[in-house]
Amino acid sequence: MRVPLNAATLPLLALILAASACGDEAADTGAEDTLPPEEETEFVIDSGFVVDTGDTGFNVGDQDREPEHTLTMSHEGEWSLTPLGGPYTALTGHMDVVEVLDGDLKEPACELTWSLTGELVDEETGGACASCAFTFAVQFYLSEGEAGACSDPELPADGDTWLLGFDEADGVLTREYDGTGIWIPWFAAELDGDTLSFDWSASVGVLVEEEE
Amino acid sequence: MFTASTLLALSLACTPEEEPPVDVGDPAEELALPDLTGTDWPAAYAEAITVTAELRTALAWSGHDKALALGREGCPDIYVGAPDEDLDVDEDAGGVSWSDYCETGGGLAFTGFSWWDGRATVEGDAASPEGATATGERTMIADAVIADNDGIRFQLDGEVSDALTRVDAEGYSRWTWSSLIQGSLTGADVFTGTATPGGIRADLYLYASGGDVEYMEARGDVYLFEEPVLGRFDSISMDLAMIEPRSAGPEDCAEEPLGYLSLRDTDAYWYDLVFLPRYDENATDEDYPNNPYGECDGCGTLYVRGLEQGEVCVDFSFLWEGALSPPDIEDFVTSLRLVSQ
Repeated sequence: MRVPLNAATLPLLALILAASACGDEAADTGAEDTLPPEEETEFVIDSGFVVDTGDTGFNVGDQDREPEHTLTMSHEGEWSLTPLGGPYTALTGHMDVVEVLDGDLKEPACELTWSLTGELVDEETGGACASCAFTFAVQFYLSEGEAGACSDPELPADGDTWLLGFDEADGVLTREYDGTGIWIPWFAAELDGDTLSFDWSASVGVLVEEEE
Repeated sequence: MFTASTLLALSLACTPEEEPPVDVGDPAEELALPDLTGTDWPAAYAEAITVTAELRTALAWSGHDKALALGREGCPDIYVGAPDEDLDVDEDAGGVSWSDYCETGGGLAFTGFSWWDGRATVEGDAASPEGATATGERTMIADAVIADNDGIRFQLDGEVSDALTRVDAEGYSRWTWSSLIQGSLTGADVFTGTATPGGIRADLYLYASGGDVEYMEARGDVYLFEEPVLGRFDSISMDLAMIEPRSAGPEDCAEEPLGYLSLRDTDAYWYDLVFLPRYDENATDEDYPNNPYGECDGCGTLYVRGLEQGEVCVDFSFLWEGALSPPDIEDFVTSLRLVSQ
């Protein structure tokens, strides 16, 4: 800000100069009072927390943090495998997704239903899961719900095709991760006759934008 | 309104007393240079690059994975996305995180937060003439300590990220990777078995390519919390580019790096080894005006406090014998499924 120098402001300027010249000793020393303190440079690990790793171990007492909001995600579905009795070459099915915020079962944050169709993946040339009884290329069609309302970052997009293999020994459907050849256990699964049922659920913390 | 007499009175009242002359003493002695004898300088700089090439983002990821695998349900609390709106990540970045201040009951404590995101894709068929292209990238931001009664297993205060691109086809392979570590990184699950078990604080960017052209860049600073290089140098600073001799073109110098590599001893003296200028495209021209820096001879000029101390010749060929091998594409796969089951 600029202050014009004129007859009205000159006395004020003089007073300021005089005051600054005759301040107390501490003011005269200048730097430490007019400059911000220097930042201390220390080679310390600053995690913001103190970890007590003594003999008694780490004691959080009542300070254990809990998420402010908890999201419970549940996926459930079924495959109807054909031809009946096997060996299977095709499937139809569905998958239901429900996300519940803070236990509010009356108004789930998100509800989706997917229709599924699948074709058997050739074990020799199609990139089937090596440890699986069978692997299907499963197409996901969103038949009900608004996917954008869901928080799970790993839901299929409408029309996506996933490679899913049934690992009978481990009782899981494994999913191939985006063409990498890496198989990740995705759903717990059980084959009963010609019907394969699968599910997965998890409760995690989630940030919720508070309404103003 | 102040009158002139008032101002005069104020001014006279505050006239400082004349100060006595200050005795500044004798002139300061010229600072002596540190002793350069007794140090195997080629070995020191070679080890500095060995240490640096090892300091990749993958260390943080594997250490985090190992330590996190020891958690139990609810300790730490897992989040989809960021655990805190103040965390500086893209709102749509997604990812997974943990945030907690908890103890598992088995003596393992999680304090702070860690957020990470990554993706890996592979397209094509490596057995085809067109080949397969694999790309991966991942980022972790944390202010986290995972510790047990034996000490810190994992600690990151900062951000690490890396990326990989790999093309494989019949009779052809090319890969590039980059790694960026910005922050403090320590812990037994991170550094056990490495040259720097005490951990580091770094702002270090590495880039390497291989397959058809082997090349590397290193830029930044590293402070070694423990285990100084050759027991003497606790910091490394560099801005280097190097190319493997068989990959070099006619204009390239494969005998030595471009740029500089500096070491700081525990007495805070820097020892700068200066090679060909990195950013001068004409550095190897005959008429480069600043010889001997322009000579592609495998040697750099050592400077201490800006004073030339002679040449140091370092054999960096060991870098092309596997020290810069790329990460696996599998390493870039991240999923909520991998931490929530």
